[in-house]
Amino acid sequence: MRCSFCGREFDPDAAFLSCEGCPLTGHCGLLRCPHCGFDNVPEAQAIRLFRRILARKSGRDKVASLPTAEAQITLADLSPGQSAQVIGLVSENGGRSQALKLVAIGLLPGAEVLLLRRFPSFVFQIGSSDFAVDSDVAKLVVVKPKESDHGSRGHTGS
Amino acid sequence: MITVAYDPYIERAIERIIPHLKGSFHLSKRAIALLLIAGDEEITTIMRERDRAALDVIQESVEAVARMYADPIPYVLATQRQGIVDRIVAQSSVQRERRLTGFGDRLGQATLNPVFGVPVLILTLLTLYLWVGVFGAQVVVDWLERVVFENGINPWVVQTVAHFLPWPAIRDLLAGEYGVITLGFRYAVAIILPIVGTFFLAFAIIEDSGYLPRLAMLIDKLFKMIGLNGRAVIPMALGFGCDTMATIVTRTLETRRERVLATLLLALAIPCSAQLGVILGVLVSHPLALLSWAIVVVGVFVFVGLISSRILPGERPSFFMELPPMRPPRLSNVLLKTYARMEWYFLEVMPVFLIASVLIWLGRLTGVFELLLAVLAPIVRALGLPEEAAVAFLFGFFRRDYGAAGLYDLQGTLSGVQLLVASVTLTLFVPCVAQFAVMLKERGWKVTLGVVAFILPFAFIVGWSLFRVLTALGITL
Repeated sequence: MRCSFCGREFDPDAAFLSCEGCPLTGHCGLLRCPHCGFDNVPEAQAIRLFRRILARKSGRDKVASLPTAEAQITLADLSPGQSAQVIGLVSENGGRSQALKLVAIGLLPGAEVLLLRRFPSFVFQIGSSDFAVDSDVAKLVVVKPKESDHGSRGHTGS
Repeated sequence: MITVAYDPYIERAIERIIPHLKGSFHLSKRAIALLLIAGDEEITTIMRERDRAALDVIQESVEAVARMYADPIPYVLATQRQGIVDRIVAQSSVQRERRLTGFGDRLGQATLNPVFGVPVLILTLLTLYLWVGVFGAQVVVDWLERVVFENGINPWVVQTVAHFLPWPAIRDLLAGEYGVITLGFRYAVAIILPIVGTFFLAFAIIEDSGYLPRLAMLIDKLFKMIGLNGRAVIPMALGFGCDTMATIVTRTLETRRERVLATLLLALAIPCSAQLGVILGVLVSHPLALLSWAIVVVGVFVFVGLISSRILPGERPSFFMELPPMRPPRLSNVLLKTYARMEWYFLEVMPVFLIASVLIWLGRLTGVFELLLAVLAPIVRALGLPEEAAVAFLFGFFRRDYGAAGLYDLQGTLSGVQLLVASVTLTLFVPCVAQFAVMLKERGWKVTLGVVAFILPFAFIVGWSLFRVLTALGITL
């Protein structure tokens, strides 16, 4: 949270560390800023709940925009019928548990994938199996597209 | 059995870890060592509880081997395994060109495309309705009710009991208005069994055809709005069969948040096949009421989903699922599955119905039943229903469908609006005893009590508002 006096950020869970020397004991309901020592009043539960309802949209974007994936081409950038070689997986920013699952189905460097459709979900073929994933997961797979290799499976979907 | 030989670094780490693993693990020690190297949380927790000191030593080796690689260890292990798999596959199999020529393949592709997929979904639901709602819930139920019970078993039981048992209380228990045989057994066999049976047969066919993952893929974007992912389609669809079973199936969802959301929606807005069949049977003579019922229940599902997905904390769900090829189901497998499910359901449902009959009999004998009915009466009247309908609501506590079946008996005396209000309230109303028990087991008492505390008033408020709005607008259905 941001201190309302000096404006610097601090971790509310660690605020008790700066309580030393204060005569009040525990549960005073205040959060002391470790930078300036100002006692902040924490946000009320109800307000936080309300804020979360309003802020849902922006919170969602933060999760979706993975900085490392942006610069590279991912499965989500291919067009239906295009095949590509897997280069690697994005595993930071909470993508780790997802990445492990993708590894388990053989999405490893050098593996060949064929994107079958983009809507309503991403469907790709690897080996002789088809998988459906959402765009968040598709963005975790960094690939190198193959040149002009359309329709190797006889249909492209629309 | 094949033992995969990994890199020397990993092999050496395995060798170093194995001597520290004491006791039995149900798996080979090599497998346990590999899981520890991969950082598997479950095994690490087990080790921590068992042998703290050994784990510390092991973790030193794990960290040492992790330093040898730039990539995360699970990734390294998977790459090496994949290399061996590729080699074996290349040596031992011939790959044929994969072609899409069969009907199943073409249907499989079509169901992935929203343009064809949505009509296919509607067609599937329509067929399901005709089979379960019309054939099961009307034709078979009618025959069993009218021919087998009302003209066959019931008069015989009443006569026999009257002949052999002089005590009116015992006579009532067996063959009275709410008797074990005349009510409990009749409801379970004549009303519930045909509906559940036809549904389970249809569901087994859908399940074995490989259609459900396609449905999940098609619906994922919509389910994201209510805080679930496409995978939740499976418990939700199963809920139309039996919400109790579906609540157990919510285990397949990944996050706790999704499980709680799915449990709530199942308890609130997904009518089980028995209830659905009875409601369809009750409302079929008022098509407009049936349509309004569907709109209200779907509306509640979406509304509650939207709101609770915003309130409940937790991470956003992600969607990941294999799409198996579509295949014609095997008859033997479908029949076996249907039989197993019906047996399970019947064994579970029959005692509850019989116990409910006994409880009602006890309640009537002691006056508790009348007291509860008197408590419910004003609520039922507020919904614009005759007081006799209170009986249906009281039954609803025992089983959802039991309540709806009580409505079936009142059918002739109620207007379209009354039937609609009663059906909506009963649909949203509390989960049945069995579902309640499963919720307690799967989600814990906090979540369960929260869900029930929300649903009870909510169901009546929706029913009441519906009644008020319809009468204010002067609508008759």
